Amino acid sequence: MNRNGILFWVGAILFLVAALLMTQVIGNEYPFFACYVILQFIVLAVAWSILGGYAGYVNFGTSAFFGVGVYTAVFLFKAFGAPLAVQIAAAAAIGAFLGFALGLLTLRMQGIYFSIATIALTIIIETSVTNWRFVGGASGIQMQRPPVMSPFNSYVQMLFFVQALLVVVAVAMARYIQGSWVGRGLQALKDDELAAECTGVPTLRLKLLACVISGALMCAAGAPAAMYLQYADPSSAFNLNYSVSALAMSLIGGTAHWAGPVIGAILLGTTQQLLTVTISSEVNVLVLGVMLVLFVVGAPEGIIGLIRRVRRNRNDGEG
Amino acid sequence: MPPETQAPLLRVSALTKRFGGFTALDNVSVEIRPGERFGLIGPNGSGKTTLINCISGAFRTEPGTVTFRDEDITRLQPHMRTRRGIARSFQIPRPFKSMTVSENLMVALDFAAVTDEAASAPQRRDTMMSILTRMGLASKADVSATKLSQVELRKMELARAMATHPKLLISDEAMAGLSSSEVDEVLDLLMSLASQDITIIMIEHIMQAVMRPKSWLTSACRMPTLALSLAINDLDAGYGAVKALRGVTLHVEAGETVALLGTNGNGKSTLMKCVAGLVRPQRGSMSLTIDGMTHDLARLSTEAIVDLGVALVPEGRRLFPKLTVLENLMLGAFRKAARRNIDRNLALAFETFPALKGLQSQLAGTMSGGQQQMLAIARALMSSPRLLLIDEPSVGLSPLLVSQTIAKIGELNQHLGLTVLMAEQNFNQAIRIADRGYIIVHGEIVVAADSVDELRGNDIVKRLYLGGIA
Repeated sequence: MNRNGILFWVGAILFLVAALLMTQVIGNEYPFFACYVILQFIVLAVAWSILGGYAGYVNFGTSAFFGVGVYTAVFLFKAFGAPLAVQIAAAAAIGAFLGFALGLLTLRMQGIYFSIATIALTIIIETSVTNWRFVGGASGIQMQRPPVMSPFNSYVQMLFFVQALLVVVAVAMARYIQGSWVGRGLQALKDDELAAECTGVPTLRLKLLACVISGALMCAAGAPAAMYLQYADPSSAFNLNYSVSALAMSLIGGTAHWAGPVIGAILLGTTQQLLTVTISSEVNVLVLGVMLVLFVVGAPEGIIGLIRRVRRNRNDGEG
Repeated sequence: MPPETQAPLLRVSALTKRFGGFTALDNVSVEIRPGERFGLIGPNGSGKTTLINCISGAFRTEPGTVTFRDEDITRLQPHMRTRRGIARSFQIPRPFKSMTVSENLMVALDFAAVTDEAASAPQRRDTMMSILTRMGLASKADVSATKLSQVELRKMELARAMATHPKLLISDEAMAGLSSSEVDEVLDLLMSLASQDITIIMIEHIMQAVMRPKSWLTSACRMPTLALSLAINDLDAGYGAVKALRGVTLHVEAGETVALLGTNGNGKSTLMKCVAGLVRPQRGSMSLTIDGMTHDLARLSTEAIVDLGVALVPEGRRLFPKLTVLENLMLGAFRKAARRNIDRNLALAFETFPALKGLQSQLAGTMSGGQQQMLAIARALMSSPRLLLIDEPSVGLSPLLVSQTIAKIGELNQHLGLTVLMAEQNFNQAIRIADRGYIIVHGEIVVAADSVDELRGNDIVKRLYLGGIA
C-alpha cells in the first residue's frame, strides 16, 4: 500500500473512532439526528457519482434506490423481525440487483433518455409500494425500534455509527474505483463510448459494475432510515428530494475526485440542517437550487475543480 | 516467406450492410494476409468507413461473416475484437478528452494489451513512453488531449491503437484535414509501423482515375440571366483546431456553372457551408450581388441567405426520410418568395425529374440513392433559387446515375439560367458541364482555371486525378 493509501485508512479509522467517541460523550440526541442525515447524504452522493460522475450516466433514480432500501428494511423487520445488519445487507443485495437492471438500460439508452428512464423507474417502484398492503400502502407504517445494543445508549446513536460505517465503505469503494483500471475505463467510456470499445474497454460490463455498486450503496444507505424515523411511507421514502440532493451534492463538490461528493454533501447537508433549524425546511430546496445555479455558472467542475485550478495557477506562478 | 501459402489474417465474406433503403455494402468479400499493406480507396460515400465499422464491430452486419485469425468474430463486441488484435483510428479523431495523452494510452494498456503475464506499472509506463517516442509525442505525454493540434491528435490515435498491441491496424483517413507536410509525416509513421509485424489497412481518398474521352462542352447559348455575382475573398474557416479553408478567393458570375474540384477532406463542403451561412468564416469576405444590391453573406443568417435566392443541395442529400416526396418538396418552398410559386415550381421540378412524379407519396428514406439525389435537387428548386450550391451530387451513386445527375444539373443551368456552384470530386463528370473550375487542396485554391481545357491540361490535375499522389 502506498503512502496515500495508508493515510486514507488512518483517516477512515480516526473518523470511525471519533464517531464512536461522540456517541459515548455527547448525551443530547439532536446532534446525532442531524449528523445522521448528513452522513446518509454522503453515502448517496458518493454512490451517485460512481455512475453519474465517473461513467457520466446521470441517474435521477436515487430516490428509487433509497426507497427500495427503506422498504426492504420495513418488510424484513415486519415479516421476520430481522436485525439491522441483515436489513442493510439485504437492501444492498436488492440494490445491486436493481442496479444491474438499470445497467441493462444503458445498452439502449444514453444521455437524457437514460435519465428519463431512471425517473420512470422511481415512479413505477413507488406506485408498486403504494399498493402493497403488507408494508402499509399509501398511509405508511409505524416501526417499533427494538432495544438498543451496547455500547450505544440510544438507537439513534447506533444508527449514526452504522451510517458512519457505510460512509467509510462507500468512500473506500469510490476511491478504489477512481484509482484502478475500472475508473480509467469508466472515464474513457464517459468521454467516448465507441472509442473506448475500440480501445478494448468492455463498456457494458463496466457500466453494469458501476450501476451495481452505486445501486447497492444507495439501497444500503436507505435501509436504516425506517428505524431512524420510526415510520415509513412511500411519498417520503421515494421523495424526489433524494435524487436532486445526491446529484446537486456531487456536482457542487465535483465528480473528478472521490472527495468531491463528500465535500458537496457535507457543505449542502450542513447548510440544509442549519436552515431547517433556523428558518424552515422549505428554504432547503431554494438554497439547493440557488447553489446549483451558482456552481454550474461559476464552477462547472465543482469545488474539486476550483481547488485544482487554484493549485495549477500556483504551480504556474512558481514555474 | 511465401505469402500465398499463409492463411489470411482477416477474411470478410459476403458482407452486406443496409441503412434503411440505402445499401452501403453489398456482398463485400475481402481477404487480407499477414504482413500485407492493404489500401482501400474510393470516393466519399462509397462505403469504406462502413466496412471498417463492420470489421471493428461498431456496426452489426446482417448477412456475412468476419473471420480473424481463423476465428469467427462476426458476433463479437468491438472490445473483444480489439483484444484479439484489431485496432483502428477514426476518420474524425476521438480522443478521451478528459485525459492526458499518456492516460489515453493507459486505457489501451489497461484493457487491450494482451500479454502473457500482467505487466507491472513501471513496465507499462516504459511501453507507453516508447510508443509515444516513436510517434514523436514524448514531449506531450502529460498534455491534455484537448490541447493537441490536429496532426498531434492523429498521431495520438495511432499511438493509442498501437498500445493495444494490434495484429491488424486500420487507419481511417488519418490524413484528412492535414497540410501536405503533415500528411508526409503521418504517412511515414504508418509506413514505419507496417514494417513491424503489423498488418495495415489504410483508407484514403484517391480518385478512381477513369478518363473518359467523350466530354462535351456546354453549348454557348443560354437563357438570358439577371445580374448576379458571388465574390469570395481571402476566406478562412475551420472547426476548432482544424483549419478547413485558408485564404480562399473565388467568384461566380451570372449564368455560369463553376466546378469546385478536390478530393475529400480538402474543404469543399466547408466552402459550400460558408456560402450557405452554416459555417461562419473566421476571416475574409463573401458578398453576393443580386440585381445591383450587394449583400454581405458573412453577416447574414442561413435563412436570410436562402431568402436572397441561394439554395444548397447538401452533401449526403439530407432529406427528411420519414416524409413523403411531396412533403419534402413542399418544405423546400418555405421561403416567402417561393410560397407564391409553389405550383409553378412543383411543375418545374416534375418536368426536370419526371421520375419523381410517380413517387410523390413515397417516403423519401425508402428511395434509392439516385432518386434521393434527384429529390434533393428538386427540393432546392422549390425555393426559386438564383444561385444553386450543389455539394457532391455524385456521393454514393453508381457511375450511370452520376452521369445522369450531372447531366440534369447541366440542363438546369442551360434551360433555367440557374447559376451553379458545384463541389465535386469526380473530375471527369464535373467538367462535362462546368464553364470554369477551381481546384482546392488542403483548404487552399491551388488552381483557378478559366476554362475546362485549362483544367484538363493542368499538371496538378494530372497528379491528383490521373494517379500519382496519395
